[in-house]
Amino acid sequence: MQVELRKVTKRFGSVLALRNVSLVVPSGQKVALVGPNGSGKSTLIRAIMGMVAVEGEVLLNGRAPFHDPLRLANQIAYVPQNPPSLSASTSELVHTVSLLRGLKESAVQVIASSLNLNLGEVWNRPVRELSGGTKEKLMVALAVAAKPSLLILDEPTASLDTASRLRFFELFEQFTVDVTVILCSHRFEEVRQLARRVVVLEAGQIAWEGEASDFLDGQALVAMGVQGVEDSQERLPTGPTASATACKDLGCEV
Amino acid sequence: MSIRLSKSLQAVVQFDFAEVMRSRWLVFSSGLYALLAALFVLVGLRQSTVLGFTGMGRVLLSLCHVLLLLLPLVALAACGQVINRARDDGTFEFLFSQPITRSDYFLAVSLVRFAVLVLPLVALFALLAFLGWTIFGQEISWVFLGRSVVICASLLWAFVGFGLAISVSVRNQAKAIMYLLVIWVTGVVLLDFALIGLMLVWRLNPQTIFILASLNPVEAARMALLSSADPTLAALGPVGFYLVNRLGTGVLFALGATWPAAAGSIAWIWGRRQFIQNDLV
Ligand SMILES: Nc1ncnc2c1ncn2[C@@H]1O[C@H](COP(=O)(O)OP(=O)(O)O)[C@@H](O)[C@H]1O
Ligand SMILES: [Mg+2]
Repeated sequence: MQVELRKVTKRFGSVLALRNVSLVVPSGQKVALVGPNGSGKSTLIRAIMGMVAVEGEVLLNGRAPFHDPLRLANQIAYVPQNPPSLSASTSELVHTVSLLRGLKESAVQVIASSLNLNLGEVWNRPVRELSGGTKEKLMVALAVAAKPSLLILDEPTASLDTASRLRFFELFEQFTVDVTVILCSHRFEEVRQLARRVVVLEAGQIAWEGEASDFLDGQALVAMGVQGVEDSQERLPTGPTASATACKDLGCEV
Repeated sequence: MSIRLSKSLQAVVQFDFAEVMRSRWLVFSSGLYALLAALFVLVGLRQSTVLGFTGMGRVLLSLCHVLLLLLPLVALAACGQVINRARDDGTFEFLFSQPITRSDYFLAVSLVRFAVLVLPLVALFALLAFLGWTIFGQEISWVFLGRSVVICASLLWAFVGFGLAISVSVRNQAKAIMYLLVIWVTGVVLLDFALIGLMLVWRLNPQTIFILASLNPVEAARMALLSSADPTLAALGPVGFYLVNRLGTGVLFALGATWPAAAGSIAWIWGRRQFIQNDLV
């Protein structure tokens, strides 16, 4: 699914969360949104999901999403930054999503178990009582099982342990071959593993965009004139460690 | 397309029904209804030993008074925090990334809450009719019961509408509770005698008072309910009594059955619009 934003602006009262953002994500591309806290990553995603009203246009496959919202929604899956703290049980949640999307519950279970989550163990427990990591895995399993053509991930591995994170990356490889992916991330490793293209947001504006490899080499930082990098241009950070350090200035965790 | 639409509605209905079954207000309101039924029996038994139970009408009347206080409160508790809470706890961000439309969600939630409010009430009335008949050997008129159910349902819908409108428009949950209480207090206080008080204090003319009285859905329901049970000055109060004599019980019943529902619908439509147009998160 192709995603296009045309001069999208979002105000929350006096806060300008997005300023004139224009962006095209071609079908099948994997793009990471990077930027410090409050730079507008989540808002951009919510604009694409139609959850916030914006100035400007959001087009999915070249059309405004209200055209046929349910059919489009069926092709989009989303892993929110904060999983819902529902009093509903895991089984209710899986059941509801399966009903809505016409999935088999077993498909969700298979994917969950590939993330090391045994749904049977948490089947009757309220979602809000699950640990952060378990909730996150559940969200990912539901999203991946939906076989979307657009997958949106807002910091999907923030509360996963290292082993689970590796499993997530494997799952991602396997399931997102032709899928358009938009990833919000703070994590260097996530960007490297999941994205081909990077868009850096700062204060609601696109500050840099380009190849993920260039970003990881630190070129984004130079282009943006991030403090401390510009001063030492001859010692341009190269290699993962140096750019990782510099990347912290962008609000990334390594 | 139509299959898809109904699927989204059906899924939310199931989801919200389960949510309601877990919620505290349901336990609270069922408890209250059970208490009312028990009180009905006790008071009835007491009166029947004293008066040989001529006072069924009187017992029903007290019950109506209690319901007029309680139903708005229960409906507000059921609906006043649905939207803002779901917004805060991330439910919306999750639900609306699924193939669900906002209008389906709003409709489903409203229907579920209204049904869960009305059905126990119907059961309560049926139980009272049964108890009246078996324990006291007095038949409660079906017309009276039918009218009461219609009026109470209308009153419930009014406060379902008000509650949902508040929960859509007031994001802060603590603030929302305050508004809900203000609405409830206004509804149940701005009744007959208080209105007369206002008239005296603010030197309002009687016409204004009568209009104010009928604009308050609780008063509209109250006049309709009481005038079909006991159209006396003592029961109705001066404003109600005046209106009964002026308009007749038929008109009052029509007013009590339709106006609260209409007021609730206006609030509901407004709330739905806000919900669909504004930000979800
Ligand atoms: N619902 C909201 N109401 C008011 N301000 C908001 C809301 N959502 C986000 N913001 C503000 O918009 C800006 C961007 O936030 P967000 O998109 O969440 O950033 P990020 O995801 O990059 O951390 C922040 O200043 C934030 O405070
Ligand atoms: Mg965010």
